[in-house]
Amino acid sequence: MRHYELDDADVAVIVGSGPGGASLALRLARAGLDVVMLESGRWIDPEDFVDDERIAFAQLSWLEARQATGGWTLARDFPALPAWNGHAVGGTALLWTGLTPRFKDHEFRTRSSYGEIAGASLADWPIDPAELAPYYAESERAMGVSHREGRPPMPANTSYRVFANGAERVGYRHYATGPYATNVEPYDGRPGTIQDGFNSQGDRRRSKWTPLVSEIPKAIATERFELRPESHAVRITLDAAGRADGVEYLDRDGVLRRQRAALVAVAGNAIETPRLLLLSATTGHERGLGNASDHLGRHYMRHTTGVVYGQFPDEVHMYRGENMAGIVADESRHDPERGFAGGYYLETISQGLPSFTTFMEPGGWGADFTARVEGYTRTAASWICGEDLPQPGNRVTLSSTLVDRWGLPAPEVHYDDHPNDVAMREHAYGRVEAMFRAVGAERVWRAPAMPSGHNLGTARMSADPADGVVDPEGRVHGVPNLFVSDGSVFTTGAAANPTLTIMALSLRQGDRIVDARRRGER
Amino acid sequence: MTEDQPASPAPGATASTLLALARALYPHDRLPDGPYERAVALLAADAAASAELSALVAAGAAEAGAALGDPAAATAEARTAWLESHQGEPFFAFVRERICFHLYDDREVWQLLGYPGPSYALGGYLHRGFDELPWLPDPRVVESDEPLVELGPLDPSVASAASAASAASAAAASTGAEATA
Ligand SMILES: Cc1cc2nc3c(=O)[nH]c(=O)nc-3n(C[C@H](O)[C@H](O)[C@H](O)COP(=O)(O)OP(=O)(O)OC[C@H]3O[C@@H](n4cnc5c(N)ncnc54)[C@H](O)[C@@H]3O)c2cc1C
Repeated sequence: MRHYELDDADVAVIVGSGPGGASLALRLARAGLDVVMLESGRWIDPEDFVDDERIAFAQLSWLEARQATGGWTLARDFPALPAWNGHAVGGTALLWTGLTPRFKDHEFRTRSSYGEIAGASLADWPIDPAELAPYYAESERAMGVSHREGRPPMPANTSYRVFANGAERVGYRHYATGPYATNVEPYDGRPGTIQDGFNSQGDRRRSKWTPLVSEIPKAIATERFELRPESHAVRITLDAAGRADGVEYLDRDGVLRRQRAALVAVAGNAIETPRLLLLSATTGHERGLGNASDHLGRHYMRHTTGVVYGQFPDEVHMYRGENMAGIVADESRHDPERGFAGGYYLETISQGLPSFTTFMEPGGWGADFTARVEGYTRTAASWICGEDLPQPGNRVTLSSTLVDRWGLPAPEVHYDDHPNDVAMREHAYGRVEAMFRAVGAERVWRAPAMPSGHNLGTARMSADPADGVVDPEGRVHGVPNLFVSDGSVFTTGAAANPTLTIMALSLRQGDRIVDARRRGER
Repeated sequence: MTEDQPASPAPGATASTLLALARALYPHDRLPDGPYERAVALLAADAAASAELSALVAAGAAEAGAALGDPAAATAEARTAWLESHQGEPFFAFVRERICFHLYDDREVWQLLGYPGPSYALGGYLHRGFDELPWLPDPRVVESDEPLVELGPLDPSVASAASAASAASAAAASTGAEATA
């Protein structure tokens, strides 16, 4: 692998090796830029992944101090774990399952489509959806998304069979096993899935797309890229002219280093990205970088979610096969007649016994609980993924009491449901219950949110610096060579799972950066 | 945790009280004592990591022991009632969470409840039934050719089927035959 010196001033420094950062890195390195990637977590070889929910959770997850506050159920159920993020090379994609719906056009224009909604900070994205379309297609190709461009669809596993039949019987039309970013057949040098489950444990087989098995090795092969794992960024520094000129980080021995930089891109996910920008406050940017108009950390979104379980007279064996290879799109429309704005997807979810008992009724116990545990092999489940509304008070701030292992203020994540979120969730719960009953469920029950896998909106994109943190290219307002390259930039969240859009935005951003360089801009 | 995992046992009286509480928290007639004993031993090891937790567990177990007489001999109802009256207290919260965590991570429990664990070494389920669900028809797997409604209500025929199903589901729920969590 190429090595760059700490005082090499002409490198692009990217913080975070998840889908956002890794896609940008590969784009820049292939275009001939020199890239140094700082990743807080370790390099873990896929062979060292462990198909055990508890062991893998400890191996792959971000377990630094965090605190959930507010009215959301996570503040009650999992106060120290508001979000489930990855902490290793490849980021949260090591945990992800791989559904990749695109945004709908109107979801880029929610203020115009939904109108004014009290309490919500709806805004239109300052970009044209048509411009993103080719980047969506390219992202699907990069991930090898199923049933696109001639690739085969994912076959139906047991969970999907229950889910799709239920959908059909309640009158839905738009159910399918994907789009899903795991190989059905060999693709891009990686094998097809053996339906072994354990998507969220890294995927030993490498059938699931992650940056660890795709963008990162490809970037290394360009000889224009250096990956530095166990390098935790703590501050972005600015020069006298107000441009980013370096990133300070703690290496694996806790030694503070500083990599000089020609440009900096932050892709630490929507909790760590605003934290780093807040921690980088300096003269002229007293409230943090990009925070002149007080939007940094605000408008935090995590999707309106919850799980419905159905128990059947016959066996399901949900643990068999891909963990989320099923989606219903009929309710993803915006249809105010249902009593709320925006839409939601219903998605299959399968859990091993340890996760099932943790999430199917957080805090539950007693004979009624164990009766449901006894029915584990006869259970199917569906996860709700709906658009939640941005609210300025839902925000990531620096804790005044908690610190992480590096001694830095921990993030506090505050979230209150908007009435629209509550109405949507109620509707979605009812629809899944109807689906499961339509195929003979003897019992259905609702469970609250699991720690958030989708984290969005804390460095929102806006054309006018007064309305957000980054411009339409993801460039931080007021710091011309500092970029944000993850879901933090989402102006609004849409119903879709976010990662395809995160990647598409990174590729587009990469092209803009390369074009600007070619024009001689720096 | 595996069955032969060594763990530090709690002292006698505490351990037998915790064992009785563990069974009352997560009662499975099919499970022998072994998994509960292992869960209690692992809980005790977790508590031993901090003086504060050790004291919490010792005090809580002593209180439960005193209230229940011989906890092992107390009726299931008495144990459940004691737990109910102590919900929300730190001792209950710690014991419930740790027992749930360890009990359902026990290989013997997995086996009795039908969870096989890892499948990679066996070739996954590709040729071992990932798609085996004989009690329902084969569903379509590819996306529908019909246009997806993005704005406004569904086609009336779909909407009426869907709302009829919802109403039926709501009626089933309101029979009260089932609790929802
Ligand atoms: C269980 C689960 C299932 C999911 N399923 C889906 C799905 O089906 N479809 C979908 O679209 N999305 C899914 N997601 C979400 C998906 O994983 C994320 O959207 C995606 O990984 C975000 O990419 P990212 O690059 O923005 O951030 P991440 O992937 O989180 O990467 C951020 C990286 O930055 C590193 N980092 C953070 N701070 C610092 C710092 N200060 N210095 C150095 N490094 C730092 C982190 O260690 C991490 O590696 C799922 C998530 C989970 C948890």
